[in-house]
Amino acid sequence: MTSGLSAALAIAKKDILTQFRKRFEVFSMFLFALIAVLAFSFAVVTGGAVPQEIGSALLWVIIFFTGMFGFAPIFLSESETGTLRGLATAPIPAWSVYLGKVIYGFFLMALVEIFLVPIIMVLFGFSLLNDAPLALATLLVGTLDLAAVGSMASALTMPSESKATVFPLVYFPTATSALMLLIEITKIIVLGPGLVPVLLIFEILLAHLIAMLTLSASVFHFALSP
Amino acid sequence: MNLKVKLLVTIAVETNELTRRYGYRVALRKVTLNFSKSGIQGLFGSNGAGKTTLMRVISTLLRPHGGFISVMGFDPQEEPEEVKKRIGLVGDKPLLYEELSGLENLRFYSKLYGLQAEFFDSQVEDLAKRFAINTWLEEPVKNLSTGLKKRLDIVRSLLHNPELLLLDEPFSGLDKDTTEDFWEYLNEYRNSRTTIVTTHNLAFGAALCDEYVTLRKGVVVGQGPIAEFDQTL
Amino acid sequence: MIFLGITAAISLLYVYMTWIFAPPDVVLGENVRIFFQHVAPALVSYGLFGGTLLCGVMYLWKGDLKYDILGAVTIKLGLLFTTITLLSGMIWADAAWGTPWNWDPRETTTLILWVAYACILAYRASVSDREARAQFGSIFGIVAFPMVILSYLSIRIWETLHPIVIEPSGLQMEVEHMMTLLVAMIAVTMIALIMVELSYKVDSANEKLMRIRMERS
Repeated sequence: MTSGLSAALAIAKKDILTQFRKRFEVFSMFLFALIAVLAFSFAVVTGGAVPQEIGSALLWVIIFFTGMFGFAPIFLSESETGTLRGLATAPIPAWSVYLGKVIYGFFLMALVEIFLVPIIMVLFGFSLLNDAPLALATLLVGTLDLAAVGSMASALTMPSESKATVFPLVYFPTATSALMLLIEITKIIVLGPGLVPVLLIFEILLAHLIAMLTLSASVFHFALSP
Repeated sequence: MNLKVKLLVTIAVETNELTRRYGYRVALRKVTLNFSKSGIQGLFGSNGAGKTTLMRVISTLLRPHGGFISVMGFDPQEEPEEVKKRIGLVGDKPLLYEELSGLENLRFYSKLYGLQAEFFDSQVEDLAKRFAINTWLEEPVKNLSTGLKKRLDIVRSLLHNPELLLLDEPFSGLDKDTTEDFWEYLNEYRNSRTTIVTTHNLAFGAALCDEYVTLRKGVVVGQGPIAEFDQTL
Repeated sequence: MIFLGITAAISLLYVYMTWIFAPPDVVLGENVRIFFQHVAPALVSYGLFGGTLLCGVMYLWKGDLKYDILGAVTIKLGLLFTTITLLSGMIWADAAWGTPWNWDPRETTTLILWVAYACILAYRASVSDREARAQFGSIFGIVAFPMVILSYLSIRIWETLHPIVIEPSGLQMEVEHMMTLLVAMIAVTMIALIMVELSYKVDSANEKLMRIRMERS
């Protein structure tokens, strides 16, 4: 167990280091997010402002789409260069490879969000500070959930012929459930409590995260040795 | 029990009616063979004969679809980690990360293999000198030539001192110096480590190996000591 | 054969009960009849997607391609029944609420479900290696299942137009309607099972044909 965890951390660290050497990937993700903000603004700006419930929902829609750029190469890059074989023949459990990639995906996305979330809040004119602890927890759990789904989706893309088109096909079905819940929670944070207790939705989100992590981790060795 | 102990002692890889398909194509058809423990074992055959497939099944990268396989006394599917920590793998592509330096790559793998820091340092010092890459270790891999990458990849595969070294076409595309260095190294460890080498170059294989297995279209067509090997086959 | 006969009989009963036996609803009138064509396929499609999950687990465990063929069949038929659910739901919604589509959470999640499983089919088609398709398709079928659960739970999470029929206090409907629904459930389930069996046979035969062809070449 501990060796699996330290292997996961080593993999995450390796990927983060690689990312820092390349830089452009995280930067282009951020730029894409800004482009998305602009594109959505054409559709939703009315009278110089964005309705709060739409702006807060768009936050997660934009993160969701930005994730597509960040998560797609998580395993594809390793399978293209062949280095996945190095991970697959190392004496570590398969789940630690998956976990390492989830940690990396989380880090990558969080890095973008640190800049993106305040910008979107200002531009779309809503505030998550009404319930800052819950907002932070939602961002953490939501990003982790998207990273968990995105890493799995990237792994599933490996055997496919048309890798670029297939990633959204795999990412969408598994991530949409989280997206719906995240938008709901964020709306409640921004607009105030609705009919449904926000903690219930948060619990379902948490359950979704745990389900995705355990399901993916437990079947992951099948993805490593076809 | 007795039989099993004996197998553990003398046989590195044993398969019985091993079958592996790719989709509808059969890559290995009821392959039954033994690779002895110790010495350099040759796995010969032309391209598409199933050599790489067999190597991948041995190294736990592919699941067999039928039959039995045991690697160093373990089933690669049942106890993959026991197999994985005993094998070292060199394939057609170096398993290195281009953005990282040679040393960072090696350190990353040493963490995956759970190596102690002192052991790692002494191994790197030894092997880097041996394969003449000690002056290149700080350089990002993407700046290295193909030959240097290959040398670094060989060092990577030897880092954890594997009992079983799996070399898939190790000499293809290798420059003369590296080939000689590697050949010399393999010779030195001939009696203390098992090495399985695949090659389609039979003259080469015949000169290097102690025993051989020949595959053709996924079927074993010959095996035995190299003295009995008939190159005209 | 016997099963086929029983199914035919129950299906006839199902037709009789939904169109003649069940009394018109106090509020919805004759429109209530569409309700049975809506709920039964919906539950059956959940069951079929559950089957996809199960087949995925079985394939990964046993490595036998027949589970994968069966899994693919459950996806296809699950999609068919989800389509029926969506269409009958739209007819119902038009009658009861005035518009065919209300972006009601159940509607939305069911549509997502449809897209999600269609994605699995499209994904499977993009993997040409048969074993890889089976293996990765099975994994996909497993990790997609939380969406089914969310769709089922959606009416409890969001404010919705859909009635929560199964209350802790018991079923909230008339006895005749309940009986009709029960018969509808059994009939649709049996029809679905026959369709699963037939498609499975066709697909396995196709599979066998492909294998023979490939082995010849």
